[in-house]
Amino acid sequence: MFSSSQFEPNSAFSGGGFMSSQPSQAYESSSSTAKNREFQGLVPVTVKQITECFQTSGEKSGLVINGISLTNVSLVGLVCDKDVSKVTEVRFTLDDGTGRIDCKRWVNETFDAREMESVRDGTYVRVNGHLKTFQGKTQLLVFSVRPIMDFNEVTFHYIECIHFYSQNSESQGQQVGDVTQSVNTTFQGGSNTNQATPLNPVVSSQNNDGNGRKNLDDMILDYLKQPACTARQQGIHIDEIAQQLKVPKNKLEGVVQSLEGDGLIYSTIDEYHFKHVEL
Amino acid sequence: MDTSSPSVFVNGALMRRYVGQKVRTVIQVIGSDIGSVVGKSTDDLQIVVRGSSPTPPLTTYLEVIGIAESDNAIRAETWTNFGNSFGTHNYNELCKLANGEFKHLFI
Amino acid sequence: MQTSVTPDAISTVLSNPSFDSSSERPEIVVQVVDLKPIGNRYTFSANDGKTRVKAMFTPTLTPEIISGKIQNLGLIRLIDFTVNDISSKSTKYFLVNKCEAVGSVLDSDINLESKSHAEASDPKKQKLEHSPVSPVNDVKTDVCTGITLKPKQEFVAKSASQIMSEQRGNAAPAARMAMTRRVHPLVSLNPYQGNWTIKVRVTNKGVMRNYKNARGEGCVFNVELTDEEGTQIQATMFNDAARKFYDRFQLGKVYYISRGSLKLANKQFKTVQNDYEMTLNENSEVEEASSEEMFIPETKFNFVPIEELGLYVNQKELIDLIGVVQSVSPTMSIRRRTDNEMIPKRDITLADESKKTVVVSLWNDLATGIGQELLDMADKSPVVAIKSLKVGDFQGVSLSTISRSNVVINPESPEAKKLKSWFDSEGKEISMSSIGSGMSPSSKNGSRSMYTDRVLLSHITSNPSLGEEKPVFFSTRAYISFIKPDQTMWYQACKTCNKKVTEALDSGYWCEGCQKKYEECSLRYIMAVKVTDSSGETWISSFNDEAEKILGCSADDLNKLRSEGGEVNEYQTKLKEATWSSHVFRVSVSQNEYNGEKRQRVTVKGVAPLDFAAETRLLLQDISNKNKASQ
Repeated sequence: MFSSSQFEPNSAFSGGGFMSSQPSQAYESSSSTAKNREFQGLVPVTVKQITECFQTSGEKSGLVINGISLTNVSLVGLVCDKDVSKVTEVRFTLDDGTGRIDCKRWVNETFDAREMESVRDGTYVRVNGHLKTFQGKTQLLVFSVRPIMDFNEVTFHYIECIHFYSQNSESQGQQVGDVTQSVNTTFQGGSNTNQATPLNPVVSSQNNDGNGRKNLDDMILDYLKQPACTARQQGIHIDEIAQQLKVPKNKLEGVVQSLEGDGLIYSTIDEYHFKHVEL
Repeated sequence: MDTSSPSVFVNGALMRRYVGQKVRTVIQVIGSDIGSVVGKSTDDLQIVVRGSSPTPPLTTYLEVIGIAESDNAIRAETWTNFGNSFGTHNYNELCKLANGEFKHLFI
Repeated sequence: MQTSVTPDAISTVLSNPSFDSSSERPEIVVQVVDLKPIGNRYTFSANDGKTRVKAMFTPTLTPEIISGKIQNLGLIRLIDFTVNDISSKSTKYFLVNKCEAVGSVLDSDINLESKSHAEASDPKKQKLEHSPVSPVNDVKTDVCTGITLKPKQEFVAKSASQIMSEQRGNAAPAARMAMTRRVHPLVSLNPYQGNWTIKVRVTNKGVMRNYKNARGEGCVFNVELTDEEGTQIQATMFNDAARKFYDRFQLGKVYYISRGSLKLANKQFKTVQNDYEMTLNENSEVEEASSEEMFIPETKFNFVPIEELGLYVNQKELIDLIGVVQSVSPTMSIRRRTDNEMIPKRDITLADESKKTVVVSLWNDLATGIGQELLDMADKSPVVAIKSLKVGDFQGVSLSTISRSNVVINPESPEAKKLKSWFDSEGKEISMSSIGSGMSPSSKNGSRSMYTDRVLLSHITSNPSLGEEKPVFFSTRAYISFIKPDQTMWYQACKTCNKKVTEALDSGYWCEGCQKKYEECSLRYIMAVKVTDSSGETWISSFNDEAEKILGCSADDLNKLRSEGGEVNEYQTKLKEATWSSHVFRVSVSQNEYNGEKRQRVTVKGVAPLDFAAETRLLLQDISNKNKASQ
């Protein structure tokens, strides 16, 4: 309503609110391949994902994730318990932080031996391999083990897991929580270990709407509603809001945008100053 | 397979959710002392890491896996040098996603 | 006291090339208009009431200007001056070495144009006849006489100010006041000075925003002002001032402004390069400049080389870019999420001397207007300079115009010249890579950009008719999963033309292309590689350069390893090392007839190692898009 009608097209990139008729979407949906029986893709996964789909799909039907059968997978993690007691194979456990999985690398050629020599306990590696379930145990038969050189690959791998999952999940209805607000969900289920931690007063005064969604919206609105703020003609800079509420600005931005979209606040002299809309 | 002891991706702000639990994070090393390293989290908060630090030299970025002792301290079990160039913004986004909508892929 | 100018002085001087060098030239009186400092000297326009010419005082005269002896709108007698060419244009300018102020400062420009008939009727008196033999005094007397003694020439008898008031009777006093004052360069303003007048063009105008608060309702808007030197400042108006000036300020028009106040700008979020921002209240003076006082603001650019754009990704800071146009897309319509409005967009690819390219998205009017112009002239590789671009991380690095962006085609600047000559001499020949990916987006690879058409392998394999009519191009990120060791792998190639050679009967190699026999040949790859991603797998063929990048050694070297054989098969090792590494591939998909059967053929046109940080950003973007779309 009062928000600027000035069009800042870059939000098309940062916010992704545009539907383009051009193939500007970086990735086409791959759901059509999901049921391909010949499927030989290499799927980025976490150990947790493997465990879960093993539990739900069982041994006979093979491992299926988002309708895609897991045959070849790619993981990143730390090597532990490397076992070279056998000549023709090297066994190790890969710990990717979500869980641990047993891996086996056949050593047939010089190259295989060389590759395994460079890998020790505690080495960060990318492992590509074939998932095999035998007598209730899942094992990864490894094609390759490559030490991580650029550690951005670690971040990349987990983001790729999320990406793959998100692009292939049919139903978006089961989303849990809201990413932008996750930081403030201090009381959310289970993790009560922080009770002894003194909370800062601003955060503890938040309303909890009962769904575990902390109301950053209300915090912002409450702040802007203060007379000291409404009296200021230019509005309040988002930096000040961030500072006062002790919330990182990047968390605020999304919420501020949605409040603006809902007509509860409006931008004043520029896109960084906001005021509360009084009705 | 064993998923009983995951280490959760955290940034500075997320630490307090996991006090007493196993976490992993990447810090930018600010200073180190005998038995501890002080660093900056990917969301610009200070984190103190205790425990026998890895063999020097430390790179600018360090991954630490260990138990969150408080909302800004970790007792380290595993240290990994993450090099001198590391995309902290991406990592911070990962921490948020891994504790939000996509938590179930991780813990 | 001199009260007017020497009529037609300027045209006379300009039409007599030897005039300025003549030792016996007549005296000339002109009016100083548009006086302003540039560096340590002042420039102005010399006005004789009909013609204006750019002019400059030598620095030795600067003290006289500062002391107020020489003033804007005042008359000066030119004692020593030269006529010089402005090299870039066909116009000339006067360089004034010596002059003296005559008469008092007028309150406007002298304009004798309206009286040109009268002037023509008496050429002898009105025209300044340049003649080396005519004594200086004669001319002077003549002019003075014309003004003071001859009543029938009433147009000169009037003071210039009288003429001006007749012509511009309705001009507000404020306007004239503004004009009599020296115009301050914007760059010289600070919050601690009193009276100033600036002359600025409105280069961006915000919308009026209404608000309500405890004190009642209010409204606010702001404008971005640019002066002749290209300095910019943001000016904000509230309530009465906003209502008063909202309609007066029109985009693109030039104004004299005084009585505004300055304060420090929030540096972190300033949208224009100025340490200060301005607030105008209802007592501020804003007067539109007349058309002859217009100027083209010289946009000040602060160019960032394409290869350094990475530093600005997702920063608030806006950047300026200059580049050679490589390609221009058609316009596309993008639906805006907030209001479902369709917005035109056009992508252009720019390259610069850093040998990198980047895609710039032009939006709205820039897409349809200047974008169309660029499309029409794209084959001429124009240079464009763009002010105020946002740097996003879509496709690694992407640029986007915003409402205040300014696009200039083939600007006349040293940077543009340098860039153009670089492009003409070498730039057009070399292959350049996109800053977002490090891969070649040159037109022979058919790419618009490395990331705009990123697909999964299944997109290619699930559509057997892809590339039926003409080859289609994609980018894809995949692992190499298999390189068959017993494939042909390479061919014997002519070292001169790279074409296939045949072994000659006696010795050496025959090249059909060169029609020549050579003693040696080299091996060039033609290698089939299996690639896989999360969606599936496919075979691709790669030629020499791409295969070299994949394997990390030349075909000749690999052939040596192969022939060595031995216990440790280094040939096999090379292939294995290359396997299970990931790359971004630029591929073409075409249809080939093979034994009477049509088959899809995927060919590698470019290959680059993964930039994990950039790839992560791309994925994060996609995740966020998907979330937004499903909410």
